Amino acid sequence: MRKIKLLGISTSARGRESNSYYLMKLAFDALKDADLSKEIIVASELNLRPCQHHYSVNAKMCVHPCLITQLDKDDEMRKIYDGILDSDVVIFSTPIYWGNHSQLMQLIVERLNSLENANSVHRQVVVKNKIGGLMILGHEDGYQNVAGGLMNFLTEMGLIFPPQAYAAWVGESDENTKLDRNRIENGKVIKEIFIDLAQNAVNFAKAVLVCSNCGQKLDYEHKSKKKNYIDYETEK
Amino acid sequence: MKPKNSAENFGKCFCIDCPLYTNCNKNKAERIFCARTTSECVMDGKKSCLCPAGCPVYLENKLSGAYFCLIELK
Repeated sequence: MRKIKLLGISTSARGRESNSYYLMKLAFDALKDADLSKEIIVASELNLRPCQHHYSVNAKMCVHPCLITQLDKDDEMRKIYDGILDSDVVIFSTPIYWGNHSQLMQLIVERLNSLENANSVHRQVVVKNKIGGLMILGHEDGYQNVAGGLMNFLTEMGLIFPPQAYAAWVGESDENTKLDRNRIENGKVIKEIFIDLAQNAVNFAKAVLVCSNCGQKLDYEHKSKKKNYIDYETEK
Repeated sequence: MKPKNSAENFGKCFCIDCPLYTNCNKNKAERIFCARTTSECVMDGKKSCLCPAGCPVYLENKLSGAYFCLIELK
């Protein structure tokens, strides 16, 4: 069987110093499957231009590859597009700030609109047969809100989520954030939760993406027929 | 599919009102890039392209994308 490709996208502005990267790296390192390749993209190390919201000018203007990527050779969003399209499992990690995911995660979501729009407007299924997962870290609360918001977008983009598709941890809801890393590093159960999330996503990918009896790879394609489809054939 | 490189489309084209359009484009009589090819001039891709914002050539030919002065329509 060919290798399952696992991609992590870490979206904290603190990059490799962040708790969310620490737990993603720990979880990925813990996976010992022989038929697994692993990569983590640290978004804060890339030059990512914000979305210019071409969609709002005209939905047909938002295309894949994104116009920013086509126009600006310094924009490195292509690494994230290519990474996702080349992977079987994509796990995003984000910190929580004031109840929401990180600004980098939001930038990436807005830029990934071109992948979602490929289906909903251009009727091209670009993202298919890929498993998703989320790792969410915060000091106070808000992880269910973050999970809900991100899973809403990522399923629209085309990712498939297994049961219990996110791992989360939040701190003590005080101002002593410097204790968080110590709690995480010494928290056996915390580590197990994040390793379990990554392992579960990979196990699900193996179960769903490749037929164990026939060896055929899943090739399921869903073209959106949402009621808010713009019918350009009849548009005036 | 590329729109027809015709005098009619040349007349309908919105390019001359576009924020990206420069004197260089004007001097070279460059327009309807969607029907021809990309510009020979230096143009600022960070400005907002006007093609999808109502150009009749774009709408009538059911085009997708934008910035045909910088990205060739295939």
